Amino acid sequence: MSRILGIDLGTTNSLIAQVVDGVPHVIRDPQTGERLLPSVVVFTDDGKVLVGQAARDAERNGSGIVISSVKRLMGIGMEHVNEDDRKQFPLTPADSGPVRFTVGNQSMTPPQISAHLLRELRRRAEQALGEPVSDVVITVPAYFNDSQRQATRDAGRLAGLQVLRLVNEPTAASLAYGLDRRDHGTVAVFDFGGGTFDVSILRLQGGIFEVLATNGNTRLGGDDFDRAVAGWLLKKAADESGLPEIMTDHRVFTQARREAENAKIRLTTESVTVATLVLPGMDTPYEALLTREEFETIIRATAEQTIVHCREALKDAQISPKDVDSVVLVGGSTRVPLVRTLVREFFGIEPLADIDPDEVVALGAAVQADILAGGTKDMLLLDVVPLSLGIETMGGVMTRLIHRNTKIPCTVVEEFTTPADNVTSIDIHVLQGEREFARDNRSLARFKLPVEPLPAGMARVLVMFLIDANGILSVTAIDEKTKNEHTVEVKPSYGLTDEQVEEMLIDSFDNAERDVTERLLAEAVVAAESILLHTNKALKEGADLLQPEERDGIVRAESALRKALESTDRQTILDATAALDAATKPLADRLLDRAVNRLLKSRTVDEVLASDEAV
Amino acid sequence: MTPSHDNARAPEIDHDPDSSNYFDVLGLPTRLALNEKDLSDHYYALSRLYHPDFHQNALPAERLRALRRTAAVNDAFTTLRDPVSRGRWWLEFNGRKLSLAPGVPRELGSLVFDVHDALERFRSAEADITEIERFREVTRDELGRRNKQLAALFGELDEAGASRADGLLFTRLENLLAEISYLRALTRDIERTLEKTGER
Repeated sequence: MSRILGIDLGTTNSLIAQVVDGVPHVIRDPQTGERLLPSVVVFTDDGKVLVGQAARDAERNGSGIVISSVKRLMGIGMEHVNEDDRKQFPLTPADSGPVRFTVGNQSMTPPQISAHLLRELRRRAEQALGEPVSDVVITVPAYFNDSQRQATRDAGRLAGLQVLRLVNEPTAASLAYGLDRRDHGTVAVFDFGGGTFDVSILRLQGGIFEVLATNGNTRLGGDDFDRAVAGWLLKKAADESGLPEIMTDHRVFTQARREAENAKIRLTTESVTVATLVLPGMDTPYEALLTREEFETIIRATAEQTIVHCREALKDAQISPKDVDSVVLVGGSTRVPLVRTLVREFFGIEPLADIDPDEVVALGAAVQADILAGGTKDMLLLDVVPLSLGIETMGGVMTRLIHRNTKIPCTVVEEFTTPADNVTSIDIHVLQGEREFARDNRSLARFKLPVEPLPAGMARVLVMFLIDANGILSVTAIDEKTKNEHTVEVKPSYGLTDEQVEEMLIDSFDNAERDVTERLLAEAVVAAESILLHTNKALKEGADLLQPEERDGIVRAESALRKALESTDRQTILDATAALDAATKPLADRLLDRAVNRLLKSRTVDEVLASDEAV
Repeated sequence: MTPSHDNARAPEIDHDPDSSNYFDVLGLPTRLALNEKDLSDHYYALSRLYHPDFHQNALPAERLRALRRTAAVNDAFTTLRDPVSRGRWWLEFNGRKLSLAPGVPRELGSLVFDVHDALERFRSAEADITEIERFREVTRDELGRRNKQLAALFGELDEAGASRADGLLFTRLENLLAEISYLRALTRDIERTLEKTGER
């Protein structure tokens, strides 16, 4: 059993955790003893990259190029970046297209910045455990769309990690809470972090965590509280000191943000606090008194939005607030007393915060990692897709193929044909969102579907949209005539193509000393060795399931792959791996079906539900 | 507490994941009048066996098959769970072509007209909230009555068997499903309007 770790890649802080003897723990930095890694990256003037606390310290000193809360920009296009973020981030100016940062003479993407955070977490874990780490589970906000998920996966790959699963943050948190299999009932997870808000409604029964509905906003978080308080502070300071120009002074703005954040934290336990600003040309610092009451007035509108999302989630789950047996608080912003009050009033029960809200997501990620590694067998997460998925049809309308809150994995098959005579391809535009018109939803991808030149309406292509357990879409087209299946080249609208990720691996200065070609080769070798190992096992288990010629085919493909491994040509290895994959397909299918049927045979539903046995 | 379940003779699952019959996929007898607990028990049991989480350590092709099997189980469960989608699926499964954009069911014509009229007047402040609330009650009653009718009709259809059910039964089911869908939409419209008032 290989080791798999859980990572919470947060807007404000990131953590890495693992399960030891069935209990999840956050892994501390062996050097500093810290659990939280501030999600801050600084590029210093002398070309160094600082990550975490070191970056936060540098930020305080005002040196270098600072990128914090990069999660806000993962997988989105420039046209969706708001005014505040345009001020905050060192963006490369553009009206549309993927977000890029200008760092000295380099251009960087949000996944590359996140990769720095992931590499630092990896370093921590490797030092603490004394062994290399490569397999991980990373959490994402439940309300992340496909592009945002893909961007997170790209970040993992850029950090040299194999991302085995993306897990939704609120569901991960529920795993950390529901470690006791006897727990049952309906649970609402209220996850209010630094930059994102999610609410998920789950039904727990016999170790199964079934998500009924999820709702949220990937641009709503504690950052918005800070921003509101900073705005209030700046305005008050400008009015009272008679210096209106400070409203647009970047240094004062940065100070105000920091003061606002600190005041917010103090007001969790205190009823009144003082915020201080050093204003240009003033001898004494400016001080403003902020009571908790006033603070709550400033943030109320933002905080109340979370309840609107809760109402929507309950509606989709077809239950009312009184049907919820417990509410779990996750994320640093749930420490704000007003937030707790609103939650208590809405659900009519006292919310639970027994597990540190900063750590609970990472702990849950570790539990999910343990499930994948085969350690935990009695728990299973059944999650949903947060946003509807569809395609653009006549008149710029979005036609839904998969509705929000559909259980994943899921597939949907659509038949396409040609609108005119003799066309050779059909354009498919994949969208995600809840709005009626295509232009109001997020564009995920566009692709061309090759068809035979025939009279209009004669060509028939079946397109299968598959959403996997990560909530990520893949598309397969099947030619109706030949039944040939081919994977469609999907060009992500805001994400990175595989080639771009590879280029970034090559560009990455962290990898300068390592040979990247070697690294890509190593990835291919790992995949090849894994399939060889599993083929070997499968041939033994399924010896009786194969016709002699099928067996020969597998053995031939196996030795071809072994031979390919003797070379150092990546493409040869990839091709031979794909060939072995194809050759083992019938065996794999029969093995799975037989395993399931054996477990089902002469057993009742209750026995299956009660067993911890996985196939 | 969940109610205790008599498992002295709980059913075995004998399922066919490749069947186009959703009941077969879940290993349930093809009976429209299904028990919700049986449905979710079968769904959970099959999820425990097929879910990709438990097949991480297998051939890539096996992982893909587990993924597709789970997708099929999810689809079957979601379709059968809601009585309306269950009924619509069953009609199509038995070769009935359903109209994509059915009009207002005849039975509901006057109710639909009255509700829309009241909502319209309410938005322009010509009707008061009690009238809307009264319509909410009427709509809920109509919906409740039809849900009961649907349960009874499911029983009748199971009794007759799909092969012997006559066109009349099919038509009754189709009409009833259309009415329920319409009443659900109407209830949503009313709720949404009332909610907006609450926010004001």
